[in-house]
Amino acid sequence: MLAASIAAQRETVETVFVNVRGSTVIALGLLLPGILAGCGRPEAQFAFSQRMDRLPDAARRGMVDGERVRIKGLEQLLTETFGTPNDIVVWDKLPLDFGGGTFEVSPGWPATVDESRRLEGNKTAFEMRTIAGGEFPADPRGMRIEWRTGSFADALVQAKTGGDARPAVFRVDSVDDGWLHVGLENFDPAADHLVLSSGAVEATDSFPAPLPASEFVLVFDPRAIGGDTFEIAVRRADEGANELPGDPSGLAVNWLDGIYAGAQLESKRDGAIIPARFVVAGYDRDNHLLRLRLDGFDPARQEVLASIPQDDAGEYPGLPAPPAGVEFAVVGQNLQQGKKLYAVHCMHCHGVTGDGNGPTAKYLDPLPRDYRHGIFKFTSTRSGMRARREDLRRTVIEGIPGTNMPSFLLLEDDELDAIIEYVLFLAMRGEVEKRQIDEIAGRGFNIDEFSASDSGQLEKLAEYLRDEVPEEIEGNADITAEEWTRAAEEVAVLVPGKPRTPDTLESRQRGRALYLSAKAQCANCHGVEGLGNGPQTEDFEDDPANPGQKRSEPGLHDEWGHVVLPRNLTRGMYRGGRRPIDIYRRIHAGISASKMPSFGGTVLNDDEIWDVVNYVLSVPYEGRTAPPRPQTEDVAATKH
Amino acid sequence: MSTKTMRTIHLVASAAFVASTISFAGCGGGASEQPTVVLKAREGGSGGGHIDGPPPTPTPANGGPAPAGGFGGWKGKVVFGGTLPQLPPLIAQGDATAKDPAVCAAQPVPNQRLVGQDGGVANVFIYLRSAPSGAAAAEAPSEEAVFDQKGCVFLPHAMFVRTDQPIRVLSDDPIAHNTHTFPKRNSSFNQVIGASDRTGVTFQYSRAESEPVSVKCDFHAWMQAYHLPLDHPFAAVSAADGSFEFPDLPAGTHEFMVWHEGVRGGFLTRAFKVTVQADQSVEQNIDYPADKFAANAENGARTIVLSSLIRK
Repeated sequence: MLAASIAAQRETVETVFVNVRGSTVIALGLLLPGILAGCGRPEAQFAFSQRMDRLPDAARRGMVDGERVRIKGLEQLLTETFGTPNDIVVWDKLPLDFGGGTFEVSPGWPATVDESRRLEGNKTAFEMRTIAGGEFPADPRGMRIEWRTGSFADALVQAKTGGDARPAVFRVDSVDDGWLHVGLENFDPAADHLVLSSGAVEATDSFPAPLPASEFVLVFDPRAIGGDTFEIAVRRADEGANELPGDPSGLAVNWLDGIYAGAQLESKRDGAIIPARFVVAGYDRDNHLLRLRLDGFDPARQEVLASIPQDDAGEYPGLPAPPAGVEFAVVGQNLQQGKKLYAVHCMHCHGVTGDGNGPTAKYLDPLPRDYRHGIFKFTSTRSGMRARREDLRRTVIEGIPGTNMPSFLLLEDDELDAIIEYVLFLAMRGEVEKRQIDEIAGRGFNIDEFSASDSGQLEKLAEYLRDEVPEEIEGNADITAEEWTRAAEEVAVLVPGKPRTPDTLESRQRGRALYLSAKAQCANCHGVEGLGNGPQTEDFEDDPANPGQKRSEPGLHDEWGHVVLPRNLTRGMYRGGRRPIDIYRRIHAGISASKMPSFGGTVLNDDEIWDVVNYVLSVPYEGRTAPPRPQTEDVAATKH
Repeated sequence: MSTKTMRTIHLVASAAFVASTISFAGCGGGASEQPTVVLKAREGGSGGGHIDGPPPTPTPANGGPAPAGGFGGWKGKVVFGGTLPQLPPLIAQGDATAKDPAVCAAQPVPNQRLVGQDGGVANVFIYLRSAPSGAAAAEAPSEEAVFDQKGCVFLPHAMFVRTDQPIRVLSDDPIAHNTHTFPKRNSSFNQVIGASDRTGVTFQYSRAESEPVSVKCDFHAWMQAYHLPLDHPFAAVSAADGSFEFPDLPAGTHEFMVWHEGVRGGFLTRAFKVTVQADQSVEQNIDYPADKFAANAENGARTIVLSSLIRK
């Protein structure tokens, strides 16, 4: 007996051991990504621009009185405005397709009784098959049945001893092989009788079943789950919007009507008012059940204004669910999915913030694009304009030849859409940040002019940060939105006024003459032989950071301050695409952020641009004998 | 059961316990994998914290009421404290090593970082950040501002324009130039202007800038000009002798920005106070202390990075 007990114990211990080991692996497995995702170190943040270094510390990080943040600095304001990579703020001011869809609280699913049967000996239930109209929940257990026609319509339950009748509540108890087992919830066969339109029913040995063709509606009763979460049945209120992802939890909810539209939380402690923010806490797609949570709701500290009744004890039994028909939007799916996909496919080069500074970046030449200036090079738009979604899509699908940007052709369409939207979000976030840093530095609050030990200056900065900077951020978001919206308009696309000139020998010769001419000066940067080694690449440019001084390294510099090489035209690799229209657009509109200027509209007309296009496309096939060099050109030694 | 097995169980169990404790204490069990999305609070709803900050003190400079009605004038001169240095030309006449010497070295290319005469400094921008209240809303002039280039020099070197005022870019040189602007709030403009193009092309700034915009030609790296686009007319660029005039200022005290390319950071001062009386013209000069002029680049120590492969 004892031995058996010990043996059993050992078995238990060994089972525990196995389980423990298994769960250790699981625990460590959970723990490790936890640490990487921000558990063992601070929460993931967007990296602030290095340009922040131009600002005094008080402007960047704000001013603190002991524990209390007296004045928020730009970094705090930007984090409030755009959130963090794991807590993204949707700002409808930005021209982004945030994704999601509109839902309404579902009034239920209409259906008809197909077949029904009594359950012998059961005095409170019956079974039925149904013909459902439209989508029917896969698992209707717990849902209520509201009879529209048939003998159960307006059924009442009344005590045998008399007294007030109450509506009979029918509910689906279980489902077995297509048969719904329906029980009468508030009925005690010993004490009650059921009153149907046809008269009272004395439950005898079994319960009457509804007649076939009786119509009913299957209704989900919203249920509170804890004080801050409830579950409702929903249906799509719009067509064509993208479907919610498998796990939409964390998406924002924007109430369009009902008690929660515009609801605010007021803190009992200090009276601070913040908007009531709902997020999706879970989604049961098969049963159309959406779980919503009121974010940051702490009943001990806060209450929802005019929407949550307290009970007599001052407690909150749970959030009231909005009635059927109330509409709300679930917002941010593209950003959420985009962030996840970006983290997998893009982040290791382009960085968490889109600053082109991911862990792989330092091994790459050229460097990955830094989105934060809002500038992408390879566009179909007119000179000086932002990129279009189609341009980014083309770059992501085709990659950029001659760089480390690969093709992501194998991603699904909706995945590409989400990634592009997230990249645009990062670009706009960075652009607003850049503009606002310029704004603050331009006001004299920069490290050259500002002294934190001057209390007058400090007070001015405090007033400025508090009273003007939030508005300026709004203004800069408006400007940013304006630029991107302009590029998205159809007229922004650069369309040649004439079709391509046939690629004849004469056209190429005219193009070559233009290429070498003082009028167009192509060879100045791209070199006489098209090797990308024109004399300009050996010149010292003025240093924009130190007016009056030259840069310390020769060469052309781009928007980001990096040396940029003019394209080597002999290799037949064109980063913005090799179609003639791509080359046309590079010449006509120039390349934003690089030194390639716009030639269209002034120096070169359409015919001339096409001639240059024809020549440029022929350069890789030319004999490699160098043409005679013009006397006046100081062509640097050929380098590779 | 052996002691070793027991120890292993113990170790594994405590590892599991520690691991689960950490993961309970630290994070929500991998919930951070799924990004959340929140809606930005609408305007009117506070972003938290300061709900009602006191309004900014109204001053004429930021749009507060002008203390008295009427208009007056301000005349003055930007006066250099000391002898104006004579900067050597950027390109000497006949310098055959210069780019496009036939055009660019036909005449010397002056160094315009600090020019003037009679003790006055030219090309100083004097302007208000925003229109003072009391000033009549002034439409942007419809006539074009002309921005030319000759002998590989931009003309004019310093130019005040109104937002939405067309700027016509011309070239009087028989070679191509490009006009490349580096604005902060506007879109950049980078357009090649053909040889001797007297028709040129127009562009405009749609937004006011807080300080003058650098304008460059990338073909001829020394070419430099400045444009200041503002959405009001209260700006002047000092003339060759440093003089300037504002004929129509609302009466009251104004704080002017004074910007010159020779000053490190650009601003001589951001708050030059002038009090204007109605129907009177006040005379007040702006001092330009000699030590405000950043020493000529060529005199300072420089770091030369020998390898252009080193990236910042």
